[in-house]
Amino acid sequence: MLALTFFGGIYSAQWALDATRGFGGLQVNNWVAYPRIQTEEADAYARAHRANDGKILLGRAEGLVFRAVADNEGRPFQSNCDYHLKGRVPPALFWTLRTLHPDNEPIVRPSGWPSAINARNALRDDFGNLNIELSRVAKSGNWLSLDNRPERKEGFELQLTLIDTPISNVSGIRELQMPVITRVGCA
Amino acid sequence: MLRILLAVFTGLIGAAVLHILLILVLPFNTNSDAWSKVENLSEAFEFNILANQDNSTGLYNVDIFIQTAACHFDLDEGPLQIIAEDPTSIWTLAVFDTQSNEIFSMSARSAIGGAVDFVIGTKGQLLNLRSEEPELIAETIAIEVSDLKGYIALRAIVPSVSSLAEARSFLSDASCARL
Repeated sequence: MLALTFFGGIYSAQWALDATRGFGGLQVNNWVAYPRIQTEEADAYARAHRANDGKILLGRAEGLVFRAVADNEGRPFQSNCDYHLKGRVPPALFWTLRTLHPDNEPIVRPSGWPSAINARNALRDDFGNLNIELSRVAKSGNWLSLDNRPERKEGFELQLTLIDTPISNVSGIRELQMPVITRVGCA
Repeated sequence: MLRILLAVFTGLIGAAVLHILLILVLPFNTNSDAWSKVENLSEAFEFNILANQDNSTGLYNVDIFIQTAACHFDLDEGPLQIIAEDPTSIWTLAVFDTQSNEIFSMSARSAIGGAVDFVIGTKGQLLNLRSEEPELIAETIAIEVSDLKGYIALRAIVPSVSSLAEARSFLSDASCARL
């Protein structure tokens, strides 16, 4: 009984710290943002997560971070697959899109291969849409490289940071258009 | 059988209580929260530009395109002024309390003439300033805080790697000093 109490309590708390950034997440397609995680209104889970994580979070007027860990069919990202990201980014003064390891480990890739792209260096089509390829092999156009150890099938996370965006204050965030991420194929 | 079920049930209740306790107590009992890390960077009233790689301070620029400088303060002896000259790129600023709750934030777009010029003080300190130095207060953005301690993040946006040095020099010229 005591063992169940101790291990159950500690394990579930630890799991919650990693797995959740609290309630009140805003979900658009597979993208999730927590606009209030850095505020007084943050719930107990959000506070515990941010205290444990210890990052200097973006203030509301500074920007908003969206995360995605799965494609449009809900399959978790794998670095042995190719993905295509298409669509528009919500209005913002500037944005960055980057790939990262879910456990904050470094992603293994040849030096100089792109791990991030931003509003200034991304190419757009004639209609202003973005097309970004995610792959462990080099692509032309907008390309983000994935972990390129052939024997590994690492998961990864996509982070879209919007700097100075009006959407942090808008309640109709569900109307937002976010890029759609489809899986092209797996090696 | 009943005793085993009862034991499991009590165990689960205990686990739930412990879970809740851990989640609630953790923010007050960690050294890995943002405030503790910023406080350990340097003395108060100094901007520290974060490194681009993970390091022993636990703070770094997770996004190379967003360069951050942090400064912690204690308003015990008076208000604080933040000034940065010639912003060459987009910048943003946020003020947090010791619980890392956001108190204030803004971006370059809403600043007067795009300049970084802020005064942070308690209600009383700002009232004093308004009567004693009205012309100073008129030109800056005054931020009222209720706690004496807290920290500031000043960020510069780096659209390309070639402007990294420029952004870091903008941050290193920024001052975070007692008025």
